[in-house]
Amino acid sequence: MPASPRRRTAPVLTRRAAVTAIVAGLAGASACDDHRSTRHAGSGVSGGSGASGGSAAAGGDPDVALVERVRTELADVLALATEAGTRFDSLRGPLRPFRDLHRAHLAVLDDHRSTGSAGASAAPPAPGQLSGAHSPAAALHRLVVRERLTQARLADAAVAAESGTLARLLASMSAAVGQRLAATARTTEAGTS
Amino acid sequence: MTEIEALQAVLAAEHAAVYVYGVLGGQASQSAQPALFSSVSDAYATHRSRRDLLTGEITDLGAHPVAAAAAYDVPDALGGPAAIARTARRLEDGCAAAYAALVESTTAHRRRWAVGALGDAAVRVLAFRGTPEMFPGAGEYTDH
Repeated sequence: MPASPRRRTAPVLTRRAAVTAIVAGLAGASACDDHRSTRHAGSGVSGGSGASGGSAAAGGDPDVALVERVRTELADVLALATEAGTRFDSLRGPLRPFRDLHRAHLAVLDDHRSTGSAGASAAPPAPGQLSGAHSPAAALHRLVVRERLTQARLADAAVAAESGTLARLLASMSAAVGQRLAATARTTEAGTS
Repeated sequence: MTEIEALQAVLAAEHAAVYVYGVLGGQASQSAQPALFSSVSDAYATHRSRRDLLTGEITDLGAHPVAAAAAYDVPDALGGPAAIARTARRLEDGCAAAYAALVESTTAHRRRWAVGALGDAAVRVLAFRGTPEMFPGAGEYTDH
């Protein structure tokens, strides 16, 4: 038990190895359902609990459906950040960290899919999410609201995950979005003070 | 790692945080570095509260909460704000990793609480000049 303030050193894993561990966890999740039976109403990511229920009811691994919904969520918010940067040059640079973050998260989830767990493709991003946002400030506000929603949905997905390994990954993603939002707010405050 | 083992690991991290933040609070100047002093004070209060909560949780589960060590390693040279911030960042990184492990080892309400604590630790790092990460508490997913 480390009882010093020294940084905990996580086991050295490549990202691929970590993702492979998730896949193994998903494969074994069904066998572990007896001690992970507590589910949470309203804990699904975008698409609601109906999509999850359909997959589970069909006998599929609920975590596979969960990952697909998370991918859709991340693809949507990435599309919004990209659209905002395209429409407003002044937002292109400031929003790059959000785009990089979501791409990194999607890459991990994509690794998971290509490692062998089949699933439906993520829905294409909804176009025109910025309609009505006529200024950079309005577009940024809309993105921040959307990012907060993504943070909450990732947290909900972490709680809903059957696999503990997947839960940890999704919780980390949620924390990363919250951290990036906080960093952006600090930068904005520093710029206006 | 079992749920109780993960809880004990988080409690151990919180014991260390309470101790070290106490030391840092004595090193930060309230007048010369008010923002840093405030961040250290807030962190100390938060970790103390979490330590007490975890102690109760573990006791309620019928286990003996891990005790605090008599002392913890604190860098000798804490002479300035940079060293204080660096030490605080290490503490928060350690707590984030412990809470991420708790997420993995728990379910339901306890897991949700751990998710929130992980998020708090990730944000608190910023108060100590930390930079955002792609995977707080789960750095093995980051490409190097």
